[in-house]
Amino acid sequence: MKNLESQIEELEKMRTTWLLVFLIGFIFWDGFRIVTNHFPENKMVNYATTISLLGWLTWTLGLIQMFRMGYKVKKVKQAAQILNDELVELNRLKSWRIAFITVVLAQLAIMALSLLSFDISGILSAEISIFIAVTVALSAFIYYNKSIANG
Amino acid sequence: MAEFELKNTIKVERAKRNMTQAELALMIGVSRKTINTIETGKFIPSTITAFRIAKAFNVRPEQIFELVSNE
Repeated sequence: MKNLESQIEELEKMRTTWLLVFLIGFIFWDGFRIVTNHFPENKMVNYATTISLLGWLTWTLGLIQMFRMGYKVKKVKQAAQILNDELVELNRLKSWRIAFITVVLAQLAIMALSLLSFDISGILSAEISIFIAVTVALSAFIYYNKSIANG
Repeated sequence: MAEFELKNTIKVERAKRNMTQAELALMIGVSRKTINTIETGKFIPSTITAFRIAKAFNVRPEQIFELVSNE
């Protein structure tokens, strides 16, 4: 039983760590990709492509580790149920709610800027929404899980 | 309208049986964090989990959980 306890604890820590890596990778990859694609006159563009590529590599590493973790979870009896118990499900729902509200607010801000004669294309608006949705949902989930872990 | 709080005696029941949070968690199929948050009153469990906890201690759910008015 002790062995199973430590395996579950290890898988929980692994999930938080690799979600964080996944999030950081996505922020740099997608954030700098948006800068490169939509603001080509910006001075940052020279560095943005390299940073975006490094971000993509970090994101890919996080993704591979998440798949590896999924394989480990299958090998440990009860692990999938325990790692996705009702508290985790609640944290997921809270994270999705926060992400949804943030995306709606971002869309309102984009609409307001458009009314003030800032030319924001539909594709940029969609890309910003996806960026916000992913980063806010993941950050909120990591935060809720951490705050529980710290009591 | 009166506000209510769900009090529980999980910690006491665990102590009686010399059981850790992790051991109880594995018995009912949730994480140790979940047991910790239920025990400290930060998270209200589902009915199924409440019954499972009671079953793990071999007592009735109302012996573990009690609805207390804050007034």
